[in-house]
Amino acid sequence: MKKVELLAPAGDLERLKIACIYGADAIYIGGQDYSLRANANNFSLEEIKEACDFAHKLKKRVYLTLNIVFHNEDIENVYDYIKKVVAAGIDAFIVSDLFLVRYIKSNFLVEVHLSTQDSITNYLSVRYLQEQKVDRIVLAREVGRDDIKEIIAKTNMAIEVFIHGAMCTFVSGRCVLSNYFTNRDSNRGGCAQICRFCFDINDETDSFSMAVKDLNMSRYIKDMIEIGITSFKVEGRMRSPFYLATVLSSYRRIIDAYYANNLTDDLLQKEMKILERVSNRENSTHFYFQEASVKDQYYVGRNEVSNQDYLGIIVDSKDHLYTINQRNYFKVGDEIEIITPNMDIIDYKVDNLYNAKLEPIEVANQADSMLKIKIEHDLPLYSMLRKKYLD
Amino acid sequence: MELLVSLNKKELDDYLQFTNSFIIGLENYAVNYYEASLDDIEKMLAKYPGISLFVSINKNIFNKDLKDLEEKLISLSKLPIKGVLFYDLSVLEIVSRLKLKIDLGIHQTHLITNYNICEYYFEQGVKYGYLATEITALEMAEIKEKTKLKLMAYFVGHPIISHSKRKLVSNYYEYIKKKKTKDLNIINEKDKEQKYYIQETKLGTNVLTYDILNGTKAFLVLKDKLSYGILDNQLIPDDLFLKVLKLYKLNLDNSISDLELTSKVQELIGDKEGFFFLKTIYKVK
Repeated sequence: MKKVELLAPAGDLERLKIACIYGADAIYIGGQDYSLRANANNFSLEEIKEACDFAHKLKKRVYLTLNIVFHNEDIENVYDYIKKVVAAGIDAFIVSDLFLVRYIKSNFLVEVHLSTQDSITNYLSVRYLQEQKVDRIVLAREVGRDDIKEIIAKTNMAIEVFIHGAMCTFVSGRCVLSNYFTNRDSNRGGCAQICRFCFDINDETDSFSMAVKDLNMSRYIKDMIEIGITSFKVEGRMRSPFYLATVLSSYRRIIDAYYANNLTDDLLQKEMKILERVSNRENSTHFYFQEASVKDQYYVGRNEVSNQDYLGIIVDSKDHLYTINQRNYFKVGDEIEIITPNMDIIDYKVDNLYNAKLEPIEVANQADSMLKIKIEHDLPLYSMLRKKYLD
Repeated sequence: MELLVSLNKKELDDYLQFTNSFIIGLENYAVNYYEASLDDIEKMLAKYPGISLFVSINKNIFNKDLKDLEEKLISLSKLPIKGVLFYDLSVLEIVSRLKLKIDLGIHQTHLITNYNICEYYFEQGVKYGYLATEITALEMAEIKEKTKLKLMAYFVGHPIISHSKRKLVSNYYEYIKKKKTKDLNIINEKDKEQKYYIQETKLGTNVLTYDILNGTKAFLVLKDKLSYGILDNQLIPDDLFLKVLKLYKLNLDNSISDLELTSKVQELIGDKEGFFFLKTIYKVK
């Protein structure tokens, strides 16, 4: 059985590197044009090449989103752009407009994945797209478990589904609220998330919201592997490196445990606890088992909790003296956890702390400062310090 | 250009002096259309011989729908309809595989925005293209120059701006433990004072503009270029709609000037022009 792919988002080069070393098998990124996250940092051509070189050395793949809904003015330069990013080493394109499928498959030996923007929901549409030489389809978020299973069984198409992160309230590609409210084009990367605003309804109440909870499929990974899904996609090209590291390493441990025949309920409970903690919103399984219902929405506006769990990242080391780029407040005496690219979670009590001049300090309270700390464990670069998640 | 009325009823007598072309949704398969069953459609075609009737099948199709959809398409292929406007690619797959004699129109509400996608579908055997309401009149004109699809654009009505499979309003009322009393509601974003209709149907929830779109100036730019101009009767009182439809018809017949059409339609339905002359942005500085 081919192992399922864990596919991570990355909004910039730092996030791509974090995703690669924290367990992703493949990373999807956006260029500076043609991507549905127009306001993320996104990647220049030089950065795309660097991203591909970095990922390929670790035997990871890089997919580039070209999934805006094109207007006439977007067309002229896209062909030249495609040539350049293929040369930079991209492994696949994620596209929405079907004219691009034909162009790319006719001219390049590179995979084409169809974006969830196209809202593919049935096996006959998949068969049509197979004939058009699409290599993989990101199914609509509204497709449930039994339909996914039937689509795979009847087509043998490589199917990618979202497993974690924010959800659209509306069918992807069928929402232009942002265009009307703010003149920002949702299908060209300008979505202003109007569905998370608060509204009056019929002048009766001012708390109507269309926002939906996040997706979290961690409990059901075993089932999702066994029905034959090819790729598990994590949402969030604009999420923080800490969020990415935490979410990806949890899913990595669950997936690896499944293939090693040691996916226990204890392990699952532990990872679910971590994933609950790192998220700043409530979550649900949405359409996977049944039609989405009252339990999947928010009704009182934005319910987002600011997360200050990320304490710092190790950026240098010498003889167990680690340099940390600090992110949030912590102090000597705190019991914390260290997560590592090896997927370890290490309990640690902070018993020393130094500033950049190696003078002892008691508290770390200047975000983005460089601190030093002696830790007896061997910790790889990019290990992260966080507040204690597990008892 | 022909005027194409998106219907709000099965009786066509009021419209026939102004146009011969109509769209109706197929029961259980249409998002934001007045629906008719196959039987209804057959009766309409018998009662009004010679009309050009497009049937919209524009919902997202799920596996469980496919067998019935195939049967419906086979039945439709035996009726003298003008064409089927489709969203989901399964329609194209079925019509191609079974070689059904149906003229297809691509009707992916917000996605038909450029000339290359139109040409793509033309080469797949599609005959008509229903342009998105979020592109400008100039973009529509350029698309016409570069595609062989017969194009249609939406000029008057309450355009749909989002569609969800979720029952967003019912869920809300269930949460606040109140009874939902109607399917058509109005939401208002207080800071911007922007009202929208929110409508629940058996297929989910639609958000529509509250103001009537007045695409008359764009119509005047495009009337010699596009094949069909759509005027949507849903949520508009019949008497008001018929006045607008009549004015459009008189203009096409050169019985009233462009200026007269513009001013009279504006008096009737206001001046909300949507995106015909407004480019959207997507990178925020």
